[in-house]
Amino acid sequence: MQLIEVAIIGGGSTGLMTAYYLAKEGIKNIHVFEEKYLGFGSTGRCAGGIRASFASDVHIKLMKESISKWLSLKEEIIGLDFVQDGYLWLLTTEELVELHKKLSAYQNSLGVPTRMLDRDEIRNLVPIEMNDVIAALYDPMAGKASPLKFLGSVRRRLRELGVAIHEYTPVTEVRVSGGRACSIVLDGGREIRVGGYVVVAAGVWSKDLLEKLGVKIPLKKDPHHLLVTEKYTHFIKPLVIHKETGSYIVQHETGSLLVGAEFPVPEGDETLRYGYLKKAVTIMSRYFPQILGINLLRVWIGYYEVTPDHHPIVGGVPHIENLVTATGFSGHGYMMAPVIGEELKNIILEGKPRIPETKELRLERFEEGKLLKESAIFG
Amino acid sequence: MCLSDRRIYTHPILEFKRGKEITIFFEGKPIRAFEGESLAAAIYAAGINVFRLSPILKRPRAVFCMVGKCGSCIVRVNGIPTRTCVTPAEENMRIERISNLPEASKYEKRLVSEEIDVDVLIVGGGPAGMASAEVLCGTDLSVVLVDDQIRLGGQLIKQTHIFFGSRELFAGKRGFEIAEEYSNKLSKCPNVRVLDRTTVIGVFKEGVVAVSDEATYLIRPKYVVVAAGAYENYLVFENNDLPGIMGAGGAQTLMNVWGVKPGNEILVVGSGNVGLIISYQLLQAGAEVKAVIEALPRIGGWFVHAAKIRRYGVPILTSHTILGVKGSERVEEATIARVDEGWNVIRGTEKSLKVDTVLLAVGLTPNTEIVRQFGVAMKYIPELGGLVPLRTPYMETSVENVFVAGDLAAIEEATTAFIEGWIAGYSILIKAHGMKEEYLTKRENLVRMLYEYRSAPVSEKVRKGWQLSLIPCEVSAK
Repeated sequence: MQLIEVAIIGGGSTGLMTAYYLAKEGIKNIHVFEEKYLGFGSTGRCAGGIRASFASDVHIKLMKESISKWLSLKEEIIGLDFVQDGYLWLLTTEELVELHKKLSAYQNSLGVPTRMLDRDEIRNLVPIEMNDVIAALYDPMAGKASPLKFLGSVRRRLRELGVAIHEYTPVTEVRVSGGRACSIVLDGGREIRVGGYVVVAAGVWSKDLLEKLGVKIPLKKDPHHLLVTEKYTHFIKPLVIHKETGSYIVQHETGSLLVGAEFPVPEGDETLRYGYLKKAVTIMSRYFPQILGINLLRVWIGYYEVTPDHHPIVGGVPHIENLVTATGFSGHGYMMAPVIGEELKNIILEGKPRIPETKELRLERFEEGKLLKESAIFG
Repeated sequence: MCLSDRRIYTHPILEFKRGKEITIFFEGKPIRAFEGESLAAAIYAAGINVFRLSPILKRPRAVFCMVGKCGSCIVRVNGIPTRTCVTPAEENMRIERISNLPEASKYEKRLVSEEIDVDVLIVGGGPAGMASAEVLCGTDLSVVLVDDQIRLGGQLIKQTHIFFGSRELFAGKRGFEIAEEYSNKLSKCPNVRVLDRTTVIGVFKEGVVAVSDEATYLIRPKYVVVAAGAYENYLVFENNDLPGIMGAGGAQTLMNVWGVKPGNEILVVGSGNVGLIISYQLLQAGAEVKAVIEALPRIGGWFVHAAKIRRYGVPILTSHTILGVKGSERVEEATIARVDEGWNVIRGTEKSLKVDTVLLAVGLTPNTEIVRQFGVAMKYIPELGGLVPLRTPYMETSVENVFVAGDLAAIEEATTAFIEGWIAGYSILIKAHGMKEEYLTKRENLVRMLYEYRSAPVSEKVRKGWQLSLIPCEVSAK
């Protein structure tokens, strides 16, 4: 039977970053298993926004670290296009303005330099029709990186580092014996022994895999739509969010525009909704009438894998010493992938994470009732 | 800026009915155009080789597909990035080259949105779609036919050869005549509404969404026929993006629909029927065909078509491929070479041809993007052109009430597309009105006709693929 050192289940941003940081430390025999192709589950479907401007200590501290990693990844990996073009929250009611003034003060106290912009300042930043916008919160530290470019460039880098990537290779089971994950079973029954660690980074699908091992994991699938257009000259630099509705627009370095909007879809019926398309275009074209002349390429649904406190689950699971997981990112997995990948590496190689806040993301918090707090969630 | 005039004024078969003469402006310079013709054809006719530059490497681009699929001909028209090949020319249009990614500018056209409840939606106005509409014409079923081109008829509008076979299958007529006849016929059907220059963009829970320059439609049909046709295959060789390289179908549109000569000295790649027929049509339009090359050791298309161009002295070089082209603003020279049985280039056999145009007639791929959104079962069947929807002998897919017909179901030709379209039409009538003897008989006859039509030796590949594309009985009997 083949013996491998690290089995990473899930070929999304979290799994790939874990593989990357482990391989950089010289670890050999790392294998990534992906059910479809890299990024199929969530990474390839996400908008690619990256920010530290959250409303919880844990998120802010981890994301500040993640952003500094994104900056160095840009140097380390050819083709990765992270740019710090900022986030802009358009605020259309006095209540939202007041709330965001407070939020900004809180974020500033933790070293995230967000600030309020008036209408003139907003106009200087983006070619916008102001309509009902009163003010905006701006985060210059935030940015974006095209998920497709990320996937392509990281794949190339991992290949150079000798990481084996197995696509169209679903893992159906992790076998545990004597408190150790000793092998994984592939679709079709082939069993592969794991000498070192098993990493479960399979997004919302981590739940099924872990529940087979008796590990209860409070994850809920939350479907979200997104659309992509043809490529146009860069005209919107920051990722712009219409706070009142949660709609957002981001244009990547490639020129493609992605437009999101909140449009609830009942569980089990994930057919694409025209209502979403209409809403996304109606709201965003009020502020950016340019988008009405743009050609739409695709619409799709991706999942946020949501935990009860909207914070991820990172670390070991009870009673299995060599299995770690990272899931439950509640819509923020891609932006957090570099810091989480590195922390999983730290847990695997040193037995513990390096950042104190990572410890708070342990799975046991749900059973203990020690939920974390977050209020800056948007679509 | 009249560099040259590429328009065809005399043609043995075609008479080009051009609209009112108008003036449009390319990069500020006036050029002549005719109202309602394809804007890309007008620009090309004025001798303009470079429509735009590629955004990163700044390589020149011009027309390739002529049916709105490839994006090579996008320029700014009155400030808005536009696919010129599917945009009719209008007086005073201001056209600017794009040398970067296009700029999104404020869009001020008023968009109307309309919701349409209809019995039957037909996607595609080529032979298959028109045939379904013909069957439904005059019945009590309401029909909406959506087509994204300037003129209805799909590939028929550019086909100038005479169909042969039986009279009920249009023997003695030319493709564009059939298209005109059908287009007139459908315009007189009170229960058929044609939405032209309109693109179906997606299938959503709420219905099927289509858009035009002026409107957005949300269509809620009971039955759907997807007859979206196919698009042309591309070929990899050095400088294959240079202006002067076109799809053979694209060149046909330019030449036979809009009366604009694609070039003067031409190399045709591929000796299937499309490659052979276009070579003959190029000769009719007064161009010189330097050679037709074919990678296989034998000619792919029908003997009659090959014999016609041989009579004109056009060499058909089998076991030959194209290695690359050279040129600054457009093709000036092409290099071809001999290949062995394994399709490896035999070194030392390279030869260069002085040509200004290279036409690619290297097959078609079914355009299945829309039908897949209905969730139909698909299968990769190379004999039928690639990934195709599975279907019953009555053209119904694995999703109830969703039918297919024509090239997106199997790469064949206009006649079979018509028959499949008729079959789909009768299947819908049978579903809507019950098992009426008249419809059942007509449908059975059509199924038999299709079977007979495909029994010719040239249809061997399709016959084999067809067997693989049928939904097993137990599944289709739901």
